[in-house]
Amino acid sequence: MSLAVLQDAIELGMIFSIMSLGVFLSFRVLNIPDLTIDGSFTTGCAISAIIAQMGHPFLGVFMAFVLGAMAGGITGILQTKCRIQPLLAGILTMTALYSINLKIMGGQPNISIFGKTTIFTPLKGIFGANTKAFVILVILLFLMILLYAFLKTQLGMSLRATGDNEAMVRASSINSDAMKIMGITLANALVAFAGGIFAQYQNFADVSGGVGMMVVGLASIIVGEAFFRKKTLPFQFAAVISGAIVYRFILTFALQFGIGASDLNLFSAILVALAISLPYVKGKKRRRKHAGLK
Amino acid sequence: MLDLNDVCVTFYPNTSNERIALDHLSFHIDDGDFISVLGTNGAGKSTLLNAISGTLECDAGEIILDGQDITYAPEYKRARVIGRLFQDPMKGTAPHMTIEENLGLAYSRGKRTTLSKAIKKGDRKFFLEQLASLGLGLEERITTNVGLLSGGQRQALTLLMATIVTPKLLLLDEHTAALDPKTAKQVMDITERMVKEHHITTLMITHNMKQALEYGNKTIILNEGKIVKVLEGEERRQTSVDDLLNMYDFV
Repeated sequence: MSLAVLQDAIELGMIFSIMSLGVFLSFRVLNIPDLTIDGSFTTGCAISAIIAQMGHPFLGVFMAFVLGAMAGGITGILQTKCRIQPLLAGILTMTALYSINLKIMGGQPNISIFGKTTIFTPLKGIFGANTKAFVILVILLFLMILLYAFLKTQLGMSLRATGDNEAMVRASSINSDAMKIMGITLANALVAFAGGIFAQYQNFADVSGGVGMMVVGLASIIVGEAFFRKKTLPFQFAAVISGAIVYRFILTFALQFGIGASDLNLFSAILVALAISLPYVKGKKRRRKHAGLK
Repeated sequence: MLDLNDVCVTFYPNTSNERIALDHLSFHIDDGDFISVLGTNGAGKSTLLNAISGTLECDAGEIILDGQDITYAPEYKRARVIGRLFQDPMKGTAPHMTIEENLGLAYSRGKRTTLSKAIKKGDRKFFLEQLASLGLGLEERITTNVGLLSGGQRQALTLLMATIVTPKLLLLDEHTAALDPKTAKQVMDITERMVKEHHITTLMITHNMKQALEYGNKTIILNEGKIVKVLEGEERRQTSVDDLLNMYDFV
């Protein structure tokens, strides 16, 4: 494996860290499985690529953030104000986004922005080959600090409590519906923002680029939690970031050993299914061994 | 203080399973009353508390708290002035957050949730004092996750959270029923002390007759969604547990 491949893995890992932070927010903090993510990631890719194509790469990633937030907001409203099951609400938005994403991309299934100015271009003169790594690292650190500080505010604490015990949150005179909408909005904004960076990173946006992103984010979190077991915020953040990067390495290895790029989603799904079910299945074996009753 | 006028709640209306939980119930509660609520299972005790707290919407009637019509106010808005405890100690606290964070959340009750720091310097000192007053040693474990506490400790903490910003009304739904006798007594004593100290109007559901007579200044008995007996003053003082049991054979 060459050094360039490793660097790619780290860079991609950092981009997917941002996305995993979004998944972490909905899946772990709010305890809601939000499938909007598969759609909003693509939305981020699409809008960012299209606007970069017009020559405004920074506006592109900003708009990715905004559109992602809007998509999340819709799912949040469907879940709370319209009382649609969280899983279905996410699927509905994701499905609708497929059409919207195609519209954003002008009806084409993919767009290329090779040779166009991206968010990485301005610093190329200073950092050369390390530009991408540097820019992504700065963005990741900035978002991490911001999100961490946010979760430590009153508002952030209310958000965490909503995922932990919703009844108690309402009894503390906090509007739990508003907290859920806010959380899912923020989660999808982060995911779409990561999508926006991803599109400009690979100079390419594909309408099916977001398929399986929720599972990828989940896999990253699970992998990271294997290293950092403590359930306090700093450790959870460390788990998400390191998990996303390690997971990218695992995928890179898998690719090197001949697993096709199109097989990666199968691989991710199996990994998540195994990681979640293993503790239970192990326990079952033990239970069967010690079962006194026939 | 609290007025219930003709409050009706019906579950599954217009079906064969229709069940009238509160039947044109009217009642007046004075400021500072501590009322124990008795009644058989299904008499409507919990429904009464749910209707007052807004977990459940009334079908008809009105609920006036301190001059304000709260009949259709959402639960979280009523929670600004109503504190609540459930039988299940797990219900009142966030298990994966620390004692301090739980208190911080409760302490922001009725205030706007902002982007300011969740727990300010002055708050911590106040929380420590309050925890120490429970006499359970929780002040030593302020950064412990609440999920690691025992049921009694969690219930005492929930009680503190419900009263840390003095509510106008405190609703207790069999809040000691899941605890062992000794812990139950301890939590009950803390309850009485807080209610007295802050002069909080309180409604307490219980199945413990002795407790119903021992604490508070009034006792009401519910049956089939109606208040069938109100005990207070001299009559209540003369009432024994056996008398109460006889009152359960209503019709």
